[in-house]
Amino acid sequence: MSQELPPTLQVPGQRRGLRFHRFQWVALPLMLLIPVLALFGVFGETWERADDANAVLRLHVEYPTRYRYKQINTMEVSLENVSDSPIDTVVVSFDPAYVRHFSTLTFIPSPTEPFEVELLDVAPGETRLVWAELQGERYGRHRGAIDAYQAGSLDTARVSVSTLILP
Amino acid sequence: METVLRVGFVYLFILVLLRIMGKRELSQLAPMELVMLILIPELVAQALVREDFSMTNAVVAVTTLTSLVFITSALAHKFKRFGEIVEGKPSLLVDQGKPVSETMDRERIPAEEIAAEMRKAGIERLEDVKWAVLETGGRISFIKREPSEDRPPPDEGQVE
Repeated sequence: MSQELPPTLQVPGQRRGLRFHRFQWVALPLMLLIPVLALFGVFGETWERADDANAVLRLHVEYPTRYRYKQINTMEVSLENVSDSPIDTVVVSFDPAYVRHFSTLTFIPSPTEPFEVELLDVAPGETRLVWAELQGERYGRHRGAIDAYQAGSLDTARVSVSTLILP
Repeated sequence: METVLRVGFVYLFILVLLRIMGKRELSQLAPMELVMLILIPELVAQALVREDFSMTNAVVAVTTLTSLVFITSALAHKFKRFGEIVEGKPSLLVDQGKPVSETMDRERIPAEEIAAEMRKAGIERLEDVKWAVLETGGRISFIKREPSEDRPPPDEGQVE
């Protein structure tokens, strides 16, 4: 322990309380609220699953509904052939109006056309996966759709997606 | 969000380290302390924000830090004991013109440093100092003797 200060240099005990300036009554709760909200995930990533089906395909999409600028997230699209016969070509189409808001786009398997992936020889009951890696580039909410259909058919399974990119 | 926990941990970690380092390091920068202050932000920056360069993350990190500083300061004011734990207590370096070697050793303050601070305060001799106190912020304050007060023999109060 450090040597105690002489009694004349010691401050007499007094009641200690907390008082705030008027603006602090407003500003401090706001300041304290941000980390609390962040702890509860308000500014964090959120995900959603959506499904649709047509006569031959069941489309299941798991996608980020909220994440932050420059973060990279993966959208997972799964397709199941629910028919009794094999499908030669299944086309998965990502809405350009949606994906153009992102950068560093990577599709697995590789796209055959811009924002379109083809899956060949899908057996009955077989499930195939398509991944799209998206880096948040433009702030705001971006909406679009993911379509899946048998090549040459107009019967489309469609899932609407909406993602908020926080600045 | 993980950033809140990371900032909270690093804040407490650095606070504890600075308390361990002692009071004097807070007010002066010797070369090794300068190295430490330059390196700490470099070392913790990546750990705090990782690859997340978003404004949202920066706002969360900064408000977490300011909130922690505010809460610590409010608790230190409200509860004296907590304040002493976080900020430390003033230490007596010179008592009635005599150096308190125990405190000087603990705080790593050589007599030359006290002499330098005395010169800055316009004090010529140690026997003119009634008390020298190392404040919690790392500064040394002096209370001079009144001209009428007794002084210790010069050899006892000599700063070498």
